[in-house]
Amino acid sequence: MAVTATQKLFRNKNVLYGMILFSFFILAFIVSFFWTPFAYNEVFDGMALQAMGGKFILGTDDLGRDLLSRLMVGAQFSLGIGLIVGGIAVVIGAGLGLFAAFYGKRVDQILNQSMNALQAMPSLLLALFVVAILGPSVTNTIISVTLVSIPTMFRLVRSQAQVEMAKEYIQSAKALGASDARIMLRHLLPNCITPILVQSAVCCSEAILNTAALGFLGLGIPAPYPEWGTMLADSKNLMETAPHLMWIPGLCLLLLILSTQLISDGLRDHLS
Amino acid sequence: MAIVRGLFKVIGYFLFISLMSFSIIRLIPGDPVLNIIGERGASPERIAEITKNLGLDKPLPIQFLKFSANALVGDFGESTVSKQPVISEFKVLWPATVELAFVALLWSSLVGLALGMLAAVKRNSFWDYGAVSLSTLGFAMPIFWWGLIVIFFFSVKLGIFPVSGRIDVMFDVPYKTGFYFLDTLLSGQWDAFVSACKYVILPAFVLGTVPLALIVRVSRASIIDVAEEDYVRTARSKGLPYKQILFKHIFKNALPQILTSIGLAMGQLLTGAILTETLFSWPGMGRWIIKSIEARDYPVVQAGVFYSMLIIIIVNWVTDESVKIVSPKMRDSQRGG
Repeated sequence: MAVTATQKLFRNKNVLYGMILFSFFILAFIVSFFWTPFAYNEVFDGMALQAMGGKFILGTDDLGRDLLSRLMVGAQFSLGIGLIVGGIAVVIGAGLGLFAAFYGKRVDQILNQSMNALQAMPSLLLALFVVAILGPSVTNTIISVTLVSIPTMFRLVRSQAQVEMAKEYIQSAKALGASDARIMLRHLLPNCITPILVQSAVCCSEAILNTAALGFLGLGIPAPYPEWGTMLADSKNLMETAPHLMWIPGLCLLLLILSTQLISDGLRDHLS
Repeated sequence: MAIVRGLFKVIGYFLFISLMSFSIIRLIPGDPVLNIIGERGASPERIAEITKNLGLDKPLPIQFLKFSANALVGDFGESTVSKQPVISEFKVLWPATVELAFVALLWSSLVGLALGMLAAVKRNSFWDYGAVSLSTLGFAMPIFWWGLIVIFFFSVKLGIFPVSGRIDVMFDVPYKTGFYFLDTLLSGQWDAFVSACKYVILPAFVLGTVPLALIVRVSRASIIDVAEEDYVRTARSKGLPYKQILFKHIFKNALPQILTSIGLAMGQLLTGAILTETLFSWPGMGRWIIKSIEARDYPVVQAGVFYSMLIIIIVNWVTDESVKIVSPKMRDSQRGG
């Protein structure tokens, strides 16, 4: 049963290509914790701005650090933050959405209005708003891009859960004396799983993009860490002498975002 | 009654955005004043001065009322870096952002509409697949990387367009409106106008690609939707020429949705402007906000947040109203309810 469902899912071209691309990054992400060609911060004297090929497969940056190692460790930030944010958005955003739909009235009003308030700013501006208050750091980057992703998740889950709330099975569960938590987790949640799955992939890709954008603006993951957006910002002045520093991190970022978007698009088609 | 309700709404919006921008300094963990001037070199006089300048020496509700009243007349205090009134910096910078966003929106709407229409009309053709893949790629493309690529080809390799700034330094444009397109023409400097155009092309091209993806997708989808309606079939069976059906029946009915997407695109433009302006050293609001966050210049951050949110609210309102104008359905449902 499960096998056929998976097979069906992968018959969707978007999901298939997205998954192939994504698993490539996941592999690099996992491997980077145990092994990289060189240490990501190791400076090789006289080896600055090496082109691709040779001892350093993807070349070196302006300080003589191996680009491939830095990219792999950079995946820990881009992909890692994407996954963390996707997860938190599910727990908090979807949780609050179910909560709002279940209790309705005042609870719903207050939650809905505060989410509206968060959404009044475009995502990057809201992330910048948080960084302006807390200052740039790894934790604060995660906090800011998470905060950005919660309202959309909340809205989608809330509207789906509201539709479900009006159905008879919820009424009968209530009549049978099921507890609030049981109704929310056992009845409401499984019936809202489609928007939650699709949106968690969307949240993941937005988080990756926003993390990189913050890094590019110099307000994201701070200096010694290799983050793709920061690497791109540094490559601007070296474009003439070392264009690979611009092409490769950017391509990684594009492909990673593209893969998550293909997965979310495919899931949406497949599940609806 | 409608006027009173509208007035309440405006006051509510105003209080909300002023609360958001007010809260920035107050939410900083620890002592905001020490945070701004740094732990070292903080003489008691300097601390007192900054505390007073930021209005932190009074109880919170009074602080907020004072802040809102000042914000209403555009007084956000002095920049802690340049010592200039924040509003006078803003006056020079906002036209730069609007000019950039306008050019970006203009080309992306025109091209986006044309591509979306072409894709919808020639469904499942080469053009359709091309437009759809282009828009998928556009959604995934990090705009700052796209900007780097564009700079790489057009400035570094071909040397056609300048990389940074709004106009060539040799031109001295007298300040009238702040919009270089207007100011250069008003002062009769044709060469300066041409230079301003040259400088805006690359950043506007880069900035416009973000909304382009959205506009292509929405206009294609909404035209396909409308084309399946009964009245379109009727018009076809009457034997009307296809061009007439496309423009008079389909396009007119798809327009509200397309306009809404252009309104949404404006929000993206503002976000995109922050990145594009930083990349191209474009002296606008986006770069101003980033610089002020880096320098912990909180009065400027507050003003930046306040005005960006103000712009978004105005844009949303204009979008809603223009959708109502082109769509009788929306207009009547409003009147009825």
